[in-house]
Amino acid sequence: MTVYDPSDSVVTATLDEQPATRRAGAFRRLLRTPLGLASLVALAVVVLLGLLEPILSTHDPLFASLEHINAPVGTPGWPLGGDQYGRDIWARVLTSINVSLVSALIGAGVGISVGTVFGLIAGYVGKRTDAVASWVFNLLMTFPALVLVMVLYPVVGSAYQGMMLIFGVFLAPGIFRLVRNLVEGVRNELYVDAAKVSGLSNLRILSRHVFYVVRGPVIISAAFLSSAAIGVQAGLAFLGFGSTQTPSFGSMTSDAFQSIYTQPVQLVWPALFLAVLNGGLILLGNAYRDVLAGPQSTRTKKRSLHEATVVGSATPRTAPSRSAGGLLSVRNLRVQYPAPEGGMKTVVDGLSLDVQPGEIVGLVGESGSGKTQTAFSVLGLLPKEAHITADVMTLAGDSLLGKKPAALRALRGGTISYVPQEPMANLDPSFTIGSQLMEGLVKGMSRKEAKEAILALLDRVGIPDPERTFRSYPHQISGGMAQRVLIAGAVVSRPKLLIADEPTTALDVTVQAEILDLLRELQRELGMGVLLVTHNFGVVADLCDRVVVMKQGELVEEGSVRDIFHRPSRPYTRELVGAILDEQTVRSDRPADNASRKDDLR
Amino acid sequence: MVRMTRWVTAAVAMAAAASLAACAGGGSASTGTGDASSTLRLSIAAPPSNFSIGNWSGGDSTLAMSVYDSLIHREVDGSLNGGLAESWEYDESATNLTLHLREGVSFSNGEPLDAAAVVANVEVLRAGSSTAQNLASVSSVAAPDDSTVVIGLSEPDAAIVPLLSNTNGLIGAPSVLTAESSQLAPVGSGPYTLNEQKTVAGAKYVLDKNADFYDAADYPFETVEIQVIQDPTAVQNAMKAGQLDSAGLSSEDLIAQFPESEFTTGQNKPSTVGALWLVDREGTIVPALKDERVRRAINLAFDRTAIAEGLGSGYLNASEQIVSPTGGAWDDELNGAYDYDVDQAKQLLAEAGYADGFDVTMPSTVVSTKFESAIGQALADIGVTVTWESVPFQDFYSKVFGGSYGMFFMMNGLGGSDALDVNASLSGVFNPYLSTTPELESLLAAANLSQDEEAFAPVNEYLVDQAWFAPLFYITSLYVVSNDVEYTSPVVGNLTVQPWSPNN
Amino acid sequence: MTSFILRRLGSGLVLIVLVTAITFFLTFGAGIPVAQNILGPTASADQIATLNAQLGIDRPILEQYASWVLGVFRGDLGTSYFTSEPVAQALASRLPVTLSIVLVACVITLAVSVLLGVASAARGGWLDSLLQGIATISYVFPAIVLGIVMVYVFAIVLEWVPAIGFVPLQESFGGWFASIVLPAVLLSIGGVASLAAQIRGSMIDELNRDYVRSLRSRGLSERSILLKHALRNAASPGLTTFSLLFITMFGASLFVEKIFALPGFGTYGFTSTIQGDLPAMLGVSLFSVAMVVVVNLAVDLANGWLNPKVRVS
Repeated sequence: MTVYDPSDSVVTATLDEQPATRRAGAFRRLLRTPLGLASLVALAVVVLLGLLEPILSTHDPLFASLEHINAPVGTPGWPLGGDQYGRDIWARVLTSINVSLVSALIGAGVGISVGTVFGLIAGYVGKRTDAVASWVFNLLMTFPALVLVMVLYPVVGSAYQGMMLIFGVFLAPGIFRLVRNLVEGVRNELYVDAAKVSGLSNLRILSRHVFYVVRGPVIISAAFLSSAAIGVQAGLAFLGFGSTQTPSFGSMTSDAFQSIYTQPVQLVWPALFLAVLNGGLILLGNAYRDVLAGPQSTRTKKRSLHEATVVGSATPRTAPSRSAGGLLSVRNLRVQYPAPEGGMKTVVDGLSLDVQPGEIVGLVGESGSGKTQTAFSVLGLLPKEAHITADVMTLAGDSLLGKKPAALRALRGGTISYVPQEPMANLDPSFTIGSQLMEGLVKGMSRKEAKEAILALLDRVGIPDPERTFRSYPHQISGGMAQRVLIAGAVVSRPKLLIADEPTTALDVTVQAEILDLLRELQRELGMGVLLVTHNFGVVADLCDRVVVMKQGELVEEGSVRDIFHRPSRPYTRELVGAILDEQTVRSDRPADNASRKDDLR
Repeated sequence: MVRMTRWVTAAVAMAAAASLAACAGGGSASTGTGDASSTLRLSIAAPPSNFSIGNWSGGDSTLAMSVYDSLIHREVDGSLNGGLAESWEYDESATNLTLHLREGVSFSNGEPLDAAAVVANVEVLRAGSSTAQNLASVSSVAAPDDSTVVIGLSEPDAAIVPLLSNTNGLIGAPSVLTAESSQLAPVGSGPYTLNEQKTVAGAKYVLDKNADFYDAADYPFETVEIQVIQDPTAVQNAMKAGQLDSAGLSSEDLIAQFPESEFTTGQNKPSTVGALWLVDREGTIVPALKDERVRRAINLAFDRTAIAEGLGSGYLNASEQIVSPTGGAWDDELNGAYDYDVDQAKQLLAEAGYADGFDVTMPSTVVSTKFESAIGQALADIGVTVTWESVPFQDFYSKVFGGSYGMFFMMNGLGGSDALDVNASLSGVFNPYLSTTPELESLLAAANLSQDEEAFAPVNEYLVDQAWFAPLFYITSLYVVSNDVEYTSPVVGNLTVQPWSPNN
Repeated sequence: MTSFILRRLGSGLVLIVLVTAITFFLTFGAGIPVAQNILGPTASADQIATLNAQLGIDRPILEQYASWVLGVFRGDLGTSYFTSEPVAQALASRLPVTLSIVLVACVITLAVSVLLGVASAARGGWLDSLLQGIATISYVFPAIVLGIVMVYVFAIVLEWVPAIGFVPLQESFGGWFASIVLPAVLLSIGGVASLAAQIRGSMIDELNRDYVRSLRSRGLSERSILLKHALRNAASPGLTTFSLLFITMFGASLFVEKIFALPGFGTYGFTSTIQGDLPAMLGVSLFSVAMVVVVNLAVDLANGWLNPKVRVS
C-alpha cells in the first residue's frame, strides 16, 4: 500500500499497475495460445487483403466478361475464376471483405457504443434510470429479427450501411447488460466509495476505475458482435435484401447456390472467407476470454466428479503399526497441488494427529496454515487435482488409504460428517430444507421414519418451528437457523467423527455462543469425536480437549488445551496465544466467496 | 400483357433471369393421392393472386385455366379451336364478333353455362383489374339467344380472339362472379376442380379431374398437384428426388445432372423476349432517343449472337424483333437488319449530333443483372455511358412511369399471337409515354382489320426499321421431365396442363 | 401470480401495438406502388385506380390503420393484397410449418445440449473437445453449405427424406417427420453450440459451489448431485439462453424454408416485406411480437418454478 495522498486516490495506484500488467500479460498470453494466435493471424490476413484491395484487385467487381463465364480457377487475370455472369471472383472477394469489415465496424461499433454508454450510466446511477434502461434493452434483445427487417426495409432499402447502423442498436443489449452488471458490482466496492470520499468527481471515478474492469469483457464482446454483424449482413444479402450493385459474401453465396450442382467450387470462396471471418472472430473472442479468466480454466481439462483419494505414502516415515489407535489416526499427511508455473505446491506437509473417541480436538492456525485442507482430506472432499499421501489414515480402525471413492462415500454421513463454515452457501437454494436433509437418509429407513427423525432433530438443535422450517427454502431462514439445520444434517445419522470447519465464524456474535453450546451438548449426547478447525482460540478454550497447531502446512505443536495455553513450548504458539486480546476477535481472513474457497491453495 | 404481371415475386425469388418462363414442376407423391401414374406434379414460382374472373394476375395461368374453361381453346401446337364457343366469326366491319356457344355445359355448382352467363362474365372482364386494359376495345356484349353471344368492338382489334383463349376469356359461375369466395374458391366448368381440402393456399394446389368435361380425353391425368417453390435450386432438388414430374432448367450445364435413363430434357418454344426498351422516343429525359438514328445506332452496338451464346447457351437466341418466331409477323431477314457494326453505329451517332456519345441511367433489377455488363460494354463501345441504378423490383414500375428512365432492359412474355405481342410492346411500362406516329397508327388499323396470319408483318417491319426498340434475344427455355410423363412443348406456355400426358 | 401474468400480458399488448403501428406507418411512408406491382407492366392508370379502391389503399392512412385495428379485435387480420387470402388463414396454414421445424429443433437442441453440457462439465477431456468441435463447425460452415450437403446425401442419394415440401402432421406422422427432420437438424446445430457451452459453464460453476460439498459430505451419490441438484440450479441461466434461441430460430427458419421449399411463416414474412403486402406484414409482426411476449412470460414462470427465490407469490 502506498501512502495516502489526497490528491490522488490510493486505489488508483494499486489499480493502475494491476490492469496494466494484466492487459499486457493477457495479450501476450493470447498470442501464446494456439487458437488465439491462429485466429489473430487468419483475421489479420483477411483484413490486410481487404485493405490492399486497390492494389490487389484484378478487375472492377461489377465488370463481367462474356468469355469468362464460369472461368476456372487460375485463368490468367482471373485468379479465382469467373462466376456465372463472367465477373471476377477474386475482385468480388476483395470487395466483399471490405463490405463485411465495414458491416462489422458499423454494427459492432454502434452496438458497443450504445451498450457501453448506457450500461455505464445505468450501472452507476442506478435505480429509476437503471430500471427504465434495462426494460428498454430487454425489449431490444427479444425483438424478433424478422419484424425488424420488415420494418426497416422500406426505410433503409438496399443500403447495407443503414441497415447495419440500426441493427447495431439491436446488438447492444448484451453489452449493456454486461457493462451495467460490472459497473454495478464495482460501484459497491469499497475503493470506489473511498475515492468518492476523497472528493473525486463521478466522471473521474467512472473513467478510471470502472473502465478498467469493463475493458476485457467488452473487447471479447466486440469480437462476437462483429461476427454477428457480418453474419446478419451476409444473411440479408443472401436473401436478396441488398443492392445488386454491392458485391458481398451473402450475394456471392446466393449466386453460387444457383449453380451449386454445375459449379460447386464457386461456393467455396464466399464460404471460406465467411468461415475465416466468422470463425476467427468467435474463436478469438473465446481464446481471449479463456486467457482473461486465468490459467485454471484452461488447465484442468480433465474433470472428474470424484474427489481425490488418499494413497499410502511411497516412503512412509512411520511404521504402520505405530498408530495411537482411537477414532482417527493420521500420520505424515501430505497434500499437494499442481502449480500454474509447473511443479507441485505443497499445502500440507507431514501432518500427524489423533482424535480419540469422544474427544474434541481443535485444529488451529492462521489462514494458509493448511488446516482446512487437512480436514477435507480426511473427509475425502478435496478436488481431483489434489495429490494426497499419508503413511497412516485410519478411521475407526478402518484404513482410508487407497479406498475407492464409492467406499469413501459410504462412510460419509454415517461414520464421518461435516459442518461447514458458511451456512447459507451450503444449502441448495432450490430445494426445501426438509427434502435436502431427507435425501441422505431414506436409504436406511422409510420416508416417514426419516421425516420424524429429522423433525425431532430440528427441534433438538433449537429450531422453534421444525415443521415450518422443514418446508421452508434456505433463503427464508436466518443464518443462525441455517447453521443449526446443517448441524442437524450432520448428526442425524449419528456419526462417529464430526469435522466442523469454523462453524461459528460466519455467524453473529450472539448466535456463536448458542451454536457452540449446541455442539458441546450434541457431542456429549452422541459421544462423537470432533475435529474442530478454527483460528479462534476463544472457541478452542471453550470446547476443545486437545489442540493441534499448524503453520504453513506443518505441524507446530500439539497437546492438551491447558498445556498449550499455559505452557506453549514453541515460539509460534506463544505468539498465537499472546495475540488473543479479548472476546472481540476481528476476522482476519476475507469473507469466503465461492470461487476462492475452492481454489484455496493456501 | 397480362402474362407479365407476376414478375415482381418471380423475379425477386431470384430465378435465373433467363429461365423465368419455367415449365411447371410438381408436388409430392408421398401424400398418396390415388394412382401415382395418373397424378401430374408441377411447380410454380409464386402463388397466384386471385381466382375471381378478371383479376387473375400471374405469369402462370395453369391453375386458372384448369378450373375455368375459356371461350376459345389454344392447342399445344398454337392453333385456336372451339372451347365454350364452338365456332365464331366476325362481321364485314370486323367490329362484331359472334360466338356460337356449346350446348349442355354447366358449372361445377350446377348452374347452366348459357349466353346470359357469358354476357355476365364479359361485363365483369371488361372491368376486371387485370383484363380491362386488354379488352378496352369491347364496347358492348349481348345475347340474342341462349347459345349465341355477340361482342361489339369500338374498332377492329385482332387481339380479341386470341385474348379469349387465355385468362381474358374465362367463364365463371354468374352467381358468384363478384363474390369474395370466388377469389380463393373458384366455381368454373373447366377440366379440373380445385380440391379445397387438400389445397393449402399459397403453398400447394390440388386439382381433381372433372369427368363431365366435354374434352375430358385431352386431360388424361386424374389429379394435378401444383406446388409453390420459389427457389430454383429447390426445384432442381425436388426434380432429382422424384417429387416433381417437370421443371425448367436455368442453364445447359444442368442437363448433365439429369441422366437420360430417368429424365428427358429439351428446349421449349419461344416464350419471352428480352430487349432494351427505348421508351423515351419523345426525347424528354434522354433527348438523344428522339432521333431514330441514335436508336438504330444502339441496335447496331450489340453482337447478339455472342451475347446469346455467352450468357445463355442453349436457350438464348439472337433476335432483332419483338414478335415471336412462331408467328406470321416474324421475318427471318429482319434479323439481319442491325448486324453488329460498331463503326456504323458511331457514324450514325455522329450524324445525329452525338459524336461524343451521351450518358444514360438505367435501372438495375434482378432481371437485368446478368446482362448488365454485356449491355454496358456494348454501349460504351459506341460512346454511350451507362450508369446502372439499383432498383428494388417493387419500385420498378413506378419509377418508369414516374419518368426516371429513358430506356431500360426488361423481358416480355410472348402471348402466342402477333396482335397480343405487338399490343403489349406498345402499352403499359413498355410505352409509358404513349409514343406513337400516324404511320404506326394506320399500320395497326390495317393489321387489326385483316384476318391474315401475317397481318402484323408490316407493323413489325416498321418497328424494326424505326428502331422503336433494341431487341436482343428471345428465350427458348430448357425443360426436364421425368420419363414417367410425355411432354410436348406448347407454342403458348404456362397455359394448361395439356402438354403433359402419362407415359405408359 | 395472476396479477403478474396480467401485468406482463398488458405490457406485451402495448408492445404489439407499438410495433405494428411503427410497421404500418413506416411501410406507408415508403410508398410502395402495390397495385402497380400486382397488375404488372401493362396496367393502365384506370386499372390501378380500380385496384387501389378494391384493396382500400386509397383511403387516408389513419382510416386504414384504424380499420385494421378494429378488424383485429374482430379476429379479422385483413386480406393479403397479393394473394387475396385472409391473413389469418395464411398464418394458420404457415405457422404449423415453422413451428414444427422450430419446436423439433428446440427439442433436439435441448436434448443434445443438456447431454453434452452436463457430461462435459462432469467429465471434461474428450467431451470438452467434442463440444468445441461442434461449436467450431457451427461458426465455420454456413448453414447453406451444410444444408446443401444434407439435402444431397439424405434426400437425393439415399432418398430417406423428401427434398422439398411439408407434410402436415394430421396426414401422416412419418411423412411429417421426414419432411422436417433435415431443416430442424440444420437449425439446431448453431443452437447446440451455444446452449451446450452455456450449460457446461453453469454446471461447472454449480459443481464448484459449497452446497455441493455439503451434499457430498452427507454421502449423496454423484448422480444425484449432478442431475438433481446441480442441474436444477444451473437450469435457470440455461433457460434464458434457450428462450433467446427459440426466438432466434423462429427468424432463422426463413433460411431453411428457402432451401427446403417449406411454405412457412418466415417465408411469408419475407415475401410480404419485399412486395409491400401490408396486411400480411402487419399480421406477421403482430404474431411475432405476441410470440416473444408469451415466450418471455413462460420463461419467467419457469424460472420462478425452478428458482424459489424469484417466485412471485
